[in-house]
Amino acid sequence: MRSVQCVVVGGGPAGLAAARTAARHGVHVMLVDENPELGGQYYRQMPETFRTPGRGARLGKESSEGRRLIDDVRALGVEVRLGTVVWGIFDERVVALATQDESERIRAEHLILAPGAYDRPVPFPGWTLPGVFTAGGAQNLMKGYRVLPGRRVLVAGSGPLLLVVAHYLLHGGARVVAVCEASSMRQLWRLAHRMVPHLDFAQQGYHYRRELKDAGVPFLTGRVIRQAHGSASVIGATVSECDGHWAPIVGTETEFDVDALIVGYGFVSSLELPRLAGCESRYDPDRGSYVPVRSREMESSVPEVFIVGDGAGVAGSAVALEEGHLAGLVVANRRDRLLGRDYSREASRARGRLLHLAGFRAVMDELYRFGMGVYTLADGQTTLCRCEEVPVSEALEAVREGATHVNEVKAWTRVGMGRCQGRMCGPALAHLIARAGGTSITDAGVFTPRPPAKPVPLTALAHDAQ
Amino acid sequence: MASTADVIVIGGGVNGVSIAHALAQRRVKVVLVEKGALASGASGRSSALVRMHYTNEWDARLAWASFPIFRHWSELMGGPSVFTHTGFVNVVAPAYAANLRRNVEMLRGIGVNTTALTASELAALQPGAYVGDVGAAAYEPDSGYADPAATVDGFRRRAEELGARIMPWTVVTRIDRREGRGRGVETSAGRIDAGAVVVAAGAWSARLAREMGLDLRMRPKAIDTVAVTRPAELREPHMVFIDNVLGNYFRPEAGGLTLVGVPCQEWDIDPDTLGTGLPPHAAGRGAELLTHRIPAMERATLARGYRAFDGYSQDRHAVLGRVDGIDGLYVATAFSGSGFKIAPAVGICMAELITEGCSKTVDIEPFNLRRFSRGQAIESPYPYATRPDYLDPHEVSSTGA
Repeated sequence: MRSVQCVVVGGGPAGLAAARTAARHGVHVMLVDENPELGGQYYRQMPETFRTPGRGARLGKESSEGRRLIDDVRALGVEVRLGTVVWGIFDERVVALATQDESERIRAEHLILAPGAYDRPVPFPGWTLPGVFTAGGAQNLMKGYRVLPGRRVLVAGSGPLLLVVAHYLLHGGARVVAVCEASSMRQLWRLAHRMVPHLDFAQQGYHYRRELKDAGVPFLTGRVIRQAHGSASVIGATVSECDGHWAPIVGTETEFDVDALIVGYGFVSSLELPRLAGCESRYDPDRGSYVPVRSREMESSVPEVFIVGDGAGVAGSAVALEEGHLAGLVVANRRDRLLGRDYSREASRARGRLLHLAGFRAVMDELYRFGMGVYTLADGQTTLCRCEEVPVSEALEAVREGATHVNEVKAWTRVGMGRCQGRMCGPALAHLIARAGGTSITDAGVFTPRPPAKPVPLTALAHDAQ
Repeated sequence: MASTADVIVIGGGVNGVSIAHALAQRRVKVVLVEKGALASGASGRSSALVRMHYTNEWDARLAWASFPIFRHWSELMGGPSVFTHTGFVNVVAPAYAANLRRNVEMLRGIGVNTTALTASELAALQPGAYVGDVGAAAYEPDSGYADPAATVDGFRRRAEELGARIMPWTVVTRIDRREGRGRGVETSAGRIDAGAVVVAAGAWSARLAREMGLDLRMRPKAIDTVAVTRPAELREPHMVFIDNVLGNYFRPEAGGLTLVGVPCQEWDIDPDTLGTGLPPHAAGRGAELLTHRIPAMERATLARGYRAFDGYSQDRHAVLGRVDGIDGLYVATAFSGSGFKIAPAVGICMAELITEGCSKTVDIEPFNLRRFSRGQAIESPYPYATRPDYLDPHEVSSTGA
């Protein structure tokens, strides 16, 4: 089996920064990403085949910033493996890779995981209708493929991404009927002074809000999406006011005619790969999700396995860049490529910048503190597990029969057995068990992680039977 | 305060709940204790093939007596059906074709609906199968597979309706052996006194028995299974295959999946700490085995995989019956990766043995533990190539066989 000095998984801001810093100090780095292009979700580059000469080849300043980072990584001789999934991580940091036709196992002397995050899935009646998108998915569609999700669009959920998505929609010529933010935003003025050191971010937010206002798009706070209507695809949406925990208030419903509905309740860390590697995680009630346990060197509970970026707790691209850089420094230092004083100076600079960014993050976390009330939106008929098409009622039945852990409900109802490996239904199921069974979310647990983390073509595997 | 029962069953897998059900049906006051959730051991991760093809008559009779219960589950047990009908084939290499035909004769003698096919007949029956290395196939048109968790839950529900007490999350700390009688167990929920104790604890049975000074001649072994998503052109479910040429099996699963058993030779694992993920090489091996038999599976994708375990006896057949020298102690264990399909009959036979002194539905005497000390291990008159997952690589290399 081939051994590689440093394997970085994930080609978004965190992974790119880690690869660049480690490679800059002479470490041999292999950077693996399942997408056809580097950049991840944030620096999403348009696939080569979609690019047209001239106008609109790139969108936004983050795209050109990403281009520079990608060019650096290429120039430093990082071994880049695109279209490659990591489907398993075994003992001794053995990483199982597969493309469409080939598979390979590699021993990573140091392993940096930068798996990113995905949209927090929140089931509600009608959420499986065609035309209902997650915010991340819609952004991906617009940024990566220049495809508008619809012409009359309602954006709902919580967090700054809603504004960004609305910006792209308006930019692309869609009509945004409203943006519904679940948070009351009443904290905004109380927290304003803490945003002073982060004026650049605050300005960005202000710019997006201003743009909505100019386009005449209502920005409704303290509102949640209740239901998507339609049979073949979404034709309408019901929104209602919500309480401080984002639970809907009956009798405050408003209807909108739409042909697309974009829902985003922020992001949760993608923990499949850290869990496969055996890394410990803990439940963070403020975020309403699990985050991996890390040292200040970005190292997980498993020695020489590092986790950086949104995969280690969603904090955005600026934090991801610094964390990746710091992990790259640590790896270079441990390989004696970056010694004593130089390492200390560089690492403490990175930590200083992270500390500064943490201040902004704390404001955002407080402003958009996740409300568990949205998990009460689903009714019995609502699909909980999209892959296996299991309704909420079946999972509830299992809880009534005595199931107290997500793995038990999985065994009894097939929830979480499908293609997505429980990414979509896991968090909602844990909340359902906790609420219906009177236990805690941590007692309800998480699905046991098992390879393959992603589906792998059999042709690729059949040649890897050593 | 000790509670009492006529019979205590230890183990909430498919055989444990089946025994509890059969006892409750005979108006026996039965308590089942399970240290975790029901079906959390081998049963829950079983591929639950329902077929009759065996190379020995005793196993075949147990499978044949169990079959009507799977097939007519709703009528007999209440609740939704647990059985999926697909048809079944057992394929062997040319060297074993004559043995296969003898076994088919034996099975037909019992009453099983089965015929022997040539390789070309198999190719006609299952388009897309590679038959170049197949000598013959035994075909069972009525067979298929079951939903293991639903089966366990169905037995549990019916047993409770009939008055059985099912206690999950109850750990047995000690089986009483005083005066040579197994007359009670200490559990995490208190002591339970009973006239008889049945150990049906799967991979955990060996340890429980050892604590009583009893050697069940079994070892726990890991079992690897991968699930693949079939390509669009193979969307229609295929038959259940046991591939004796390559030494594995595969069967369709709901949602366009196919489950593939991957031979695994990891012995003496600890069922309490064994990881449930695939080892790194298993997925590749499974892909190789499946694409050899069904070449179009090259376009399938690996969807998931998992590791289970079971207790394997010295001759890779179950250990059933009364234990000599310990009055009131019974075992139904060491099913050696093949215990699901015979569980309904095992339940009935064990209940007959306990209540009437001998089993009548099927004679389970050949499965008694004493066969090992008497040199009467179960052997097939017309065997096939030894399945690779029955071999312990260390044993093989140390004996030089």
